[in-house]
Amino acid sequence: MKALIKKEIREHKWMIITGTIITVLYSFVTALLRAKTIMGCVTDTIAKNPNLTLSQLSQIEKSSELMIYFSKTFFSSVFINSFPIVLIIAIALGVSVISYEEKNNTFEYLLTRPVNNAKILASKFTAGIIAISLMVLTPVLLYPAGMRCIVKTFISKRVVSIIGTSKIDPASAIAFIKGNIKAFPVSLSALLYASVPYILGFSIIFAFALLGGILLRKHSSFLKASIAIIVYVVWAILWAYAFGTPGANGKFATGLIKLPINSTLRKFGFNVLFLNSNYYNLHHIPLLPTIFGIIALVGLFFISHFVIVHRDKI
Amino acid sequence: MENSIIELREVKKNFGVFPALKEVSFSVPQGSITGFVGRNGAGKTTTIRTVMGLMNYEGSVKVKGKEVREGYALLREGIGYMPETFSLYPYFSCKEMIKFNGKFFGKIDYNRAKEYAEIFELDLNKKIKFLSKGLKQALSFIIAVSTNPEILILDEPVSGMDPIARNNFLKILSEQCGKNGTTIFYSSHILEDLEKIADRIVIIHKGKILLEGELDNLKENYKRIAVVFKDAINKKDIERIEGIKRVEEDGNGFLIIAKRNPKNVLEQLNKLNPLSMDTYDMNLNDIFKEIVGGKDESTN
Repeated sequence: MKALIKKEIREHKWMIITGTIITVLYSFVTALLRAKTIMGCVTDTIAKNPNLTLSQLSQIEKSSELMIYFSKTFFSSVFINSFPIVLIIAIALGVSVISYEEKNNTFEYLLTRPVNNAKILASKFTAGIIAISLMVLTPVLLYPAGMRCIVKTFISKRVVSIIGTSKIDPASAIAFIKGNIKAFPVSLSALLYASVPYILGFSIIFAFALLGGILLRKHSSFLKASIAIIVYVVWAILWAYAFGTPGANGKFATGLIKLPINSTLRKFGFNVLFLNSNYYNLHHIPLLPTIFGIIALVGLFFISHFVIVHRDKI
Repeated sequence: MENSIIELREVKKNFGVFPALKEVSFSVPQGSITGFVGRNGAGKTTTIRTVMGLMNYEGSVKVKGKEVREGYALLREGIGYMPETFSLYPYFSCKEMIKFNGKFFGKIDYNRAKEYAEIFELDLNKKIKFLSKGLKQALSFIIAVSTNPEILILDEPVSGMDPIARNNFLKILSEQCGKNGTTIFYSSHILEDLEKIADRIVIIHKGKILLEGELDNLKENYKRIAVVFKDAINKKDIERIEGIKRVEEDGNGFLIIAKRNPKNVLEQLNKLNPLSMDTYDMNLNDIFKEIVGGKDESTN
């Protein structure tokens, strides 16, 4: 099984490496843009209240308004902005894990080894989930570092100039802001909690694409690519409209497509699986969506296994 | 057959409305080298893929006494399989491919693989994508034998090999069967090769088994007889003799193909007062053509 997973990752290493590099770069560029906004938020607060003291600024921070803003911009930056890239790669990876084997006749090689078909499929699923985790977690973990680096280099001067107009001692204000940035945005565990549903969401897409890849294994790459694009567009519509997009003041815009179960899904945070960024949870892994995601993955695994076993009839 | 290691009984397989296998039944005895022969599209690869558990089927396919569709993955532990098409990962080096294959079987005789690679002049450090067709086939073969299998199933294994590589291949195959008692089930169009090593032959044609038996018996039964008579003899009189497959007028005489009990055929022909009568052995190629029929432009 380990050898099979290693083989899968090796087979698609360029796709995974490219995906990870793009998402990381995207994350850094986003960090650059967001850092300015966040620092702008702090400095605006100070500019609006020239008599603000450091303890009052601290109170604002503690009232979590700032942290909510930090967290929201952070997750929406990383997840939403890197979402199209990870999605495209998840679909491409899912389709190609079987079609690559078919193209090289190696699927027959695998199926004639003394190993269960289920194990072969499980190794493909595992490799896909590892690749997706890499693409999601790498930028998530690097984002704060990028943000810190940018703040240190570019923003400090601007903060000093604005803070200079307030009553706060500039040195302590900068220390405070830097401290905030250092602690920014949340702990590692919170980052991972927030990432799990996204990884599951992308994994479900990967599993769908894998199933499609088995069903369409004998068809042309053009047809496969066309279907992959359709899947992408449908998913994007669902994401953008059915579940609503974040509006002003943290409220959700109404989706164009009103699914009757929409509000229930939202209530339990299910739409996080549909890669809607507004239901991240920094305190624990959302239980119901995670269970739902795992059940969906297991279901897709069994359907794919059935298709492989009966592939000459399908 | 009691000591059969592979046994097919009334196996049917359809591709849509096209019947690829029509009640195929034959067996492969343990320790034998069984040649599996047929024309293009006869059903050889379909049969082999069925035995390897790659296809659903009707009827019964048993390997080592167990039905293929039930828990077959475990049975494959003792099977070395070399498919007709290359099934190798192009980005692996030959060494990596052999070792990767060994991980499925839990055992691998790497020294033997190295020894065979030297025979085939195959550089094990070379990437598979840079190998020629013949070397890819040689590597496929090395992979199949390096796990020391109980059964070796080969589907058109030498189509890309040069004559020297083919000879080496046959030598290794004979060794494998002789020293290790490996059962070999070998499908090929190159009947001269099969004739050198096979002890049994199964002939398939249009999804049906036409013949199954010992190669020696087959060659014993099939004889070409050239006969010239003093008197005019009617062709139909000869055709009536039991055991004759085909009679052809040849100048002043007849060319006769006996398919069964050639001694009896000769005795019967003697009764017709022949002027001369010569008997020739037939090679597997000729026997195959006689059994399967069909046009062969090269003999015209």
